[in-house]
Amino acid sequence: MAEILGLLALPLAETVVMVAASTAAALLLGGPLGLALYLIAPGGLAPRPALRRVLDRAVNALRSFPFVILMILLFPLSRLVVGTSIGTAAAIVPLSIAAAPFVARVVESALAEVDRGVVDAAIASGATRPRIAFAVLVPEALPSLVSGLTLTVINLVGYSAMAGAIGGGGLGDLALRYGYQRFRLDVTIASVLAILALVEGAQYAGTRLVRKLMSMR
Amino acid sequence: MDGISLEVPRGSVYGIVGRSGAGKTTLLRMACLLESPDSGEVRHGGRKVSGLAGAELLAARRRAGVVFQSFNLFSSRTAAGNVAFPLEAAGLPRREIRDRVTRLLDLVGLAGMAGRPAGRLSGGERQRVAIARALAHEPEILFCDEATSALDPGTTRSVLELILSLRDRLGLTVVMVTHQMEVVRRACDLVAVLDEGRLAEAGEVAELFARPRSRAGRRLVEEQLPDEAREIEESGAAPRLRLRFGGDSASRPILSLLARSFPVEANILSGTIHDIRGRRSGELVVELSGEEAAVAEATSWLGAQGVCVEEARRG
Repeated sequence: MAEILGLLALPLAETVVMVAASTAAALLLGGPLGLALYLIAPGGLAPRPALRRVLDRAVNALRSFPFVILMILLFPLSRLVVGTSIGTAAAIVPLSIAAAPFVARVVESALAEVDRGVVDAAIASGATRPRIAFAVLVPEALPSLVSGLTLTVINLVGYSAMAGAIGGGGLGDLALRYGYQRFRLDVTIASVLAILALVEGAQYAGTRLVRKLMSMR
Repeated sequence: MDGISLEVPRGSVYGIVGRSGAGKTTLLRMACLLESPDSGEVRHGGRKVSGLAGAELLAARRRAGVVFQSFNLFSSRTAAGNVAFPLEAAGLPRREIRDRVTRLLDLVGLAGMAGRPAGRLSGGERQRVAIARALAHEPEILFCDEATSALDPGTTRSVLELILSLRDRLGLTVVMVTHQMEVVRRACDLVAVLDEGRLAEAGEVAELFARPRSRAGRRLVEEQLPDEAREIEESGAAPRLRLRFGGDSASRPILSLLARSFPVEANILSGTIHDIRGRRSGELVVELSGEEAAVAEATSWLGAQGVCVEEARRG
């Protein structure tokens, strides 16, 4: 038991770091993209139908890549950004890029849920577009944004396990190399339980936060 | 929308009525600068405001407040936060925002509600917050898009009273779109009737109730009658007339004069009196029986007395 816990500690930390860092990076990349998709949509605050079609296609294309393929394709980029294509730090690059279009859709649909009348009220107040975006749209959409981001975190936990399989480290790596290849069923089960705990924890925290946000309204 | 030209006198409460789809809301959205017209122009207080862009457009929007049917409050903010938004958007200093918000909430009778989240206010309170928010920049004009349509009758009355008292205290000009004739009757001085994107008629409210000139105007006034009255009017075969009394003619005993001066009998089928902010306007549906010539003579006499006479519909 102590041996298994000892084996789990480092990979668990690696997974948490991978997921946290790639969630943050995906938010930085996908958040503005989602906001743009919302704003430039036909009938939006700054309609740009042609550009919007291009971005829309690009997001769909990126989302339809199987993650394993994307990761291999992005090895050169990982080498460029973090100096290596192996390890936890290297895995963060493809994880972020895989999650960014998902985040963009999460943000776009959360913003689209905001009542158009509320946006009209903000426009009629004489507010600028950036002010409407960040002082009205984002706060109004916050509960939806949080539940969408919870989904993103959970997806990234799954992807990070896959990244582990091709040299990314973390719990997926432990389950595969220690558990599966060395016939250590107990290690495999422990890894899967740890992943399950992460997913449950993320879901619980997300749900709690959404409930807290809603209770303040 | 085609060929609609309206002038709203400063300080008046101007109603825009019509059935749904008549184009009232589109007209209002163009007037309050939420949408821009394909052609034609919008002026606020003599200044041309249509076709503006950038900072000028934002400034023009701040000089006009808008209140909506569904309140459209920011649910992530408190009552005070909602009222503060337009002021924050204009970059006012915090201190001044706080003072103004306090004054505005007081003005709409919600002094104690500042910290309450928008979602926990009643419908009437929400609309009061929305009015305070619309007035944050001390605009000259307040646009109301069906502002009372989502409220119950009692709350409608109190919100209308608030709007009228704000008009008097702040010297506002109010433009209100509504499909409720009740609202026009209670609150408006002037009214424009829209019908399928065109202006059917425009004038004083008392005039519309006493002598509607357009088909759309007549329809709206008639909708004020209770259903049973309309059924009685529409049954039976004898010729019947709809008489509308306004101004002078409402305060004279026209029907008894009629019975004494002509050999006809007037049988009253239904009647309504509207009290339009102190001015009375009556409507009667009568059956005139007697010789055909006498009836015709009596009818033209009624017209000469300032009564608006028309054939009532027959069932």
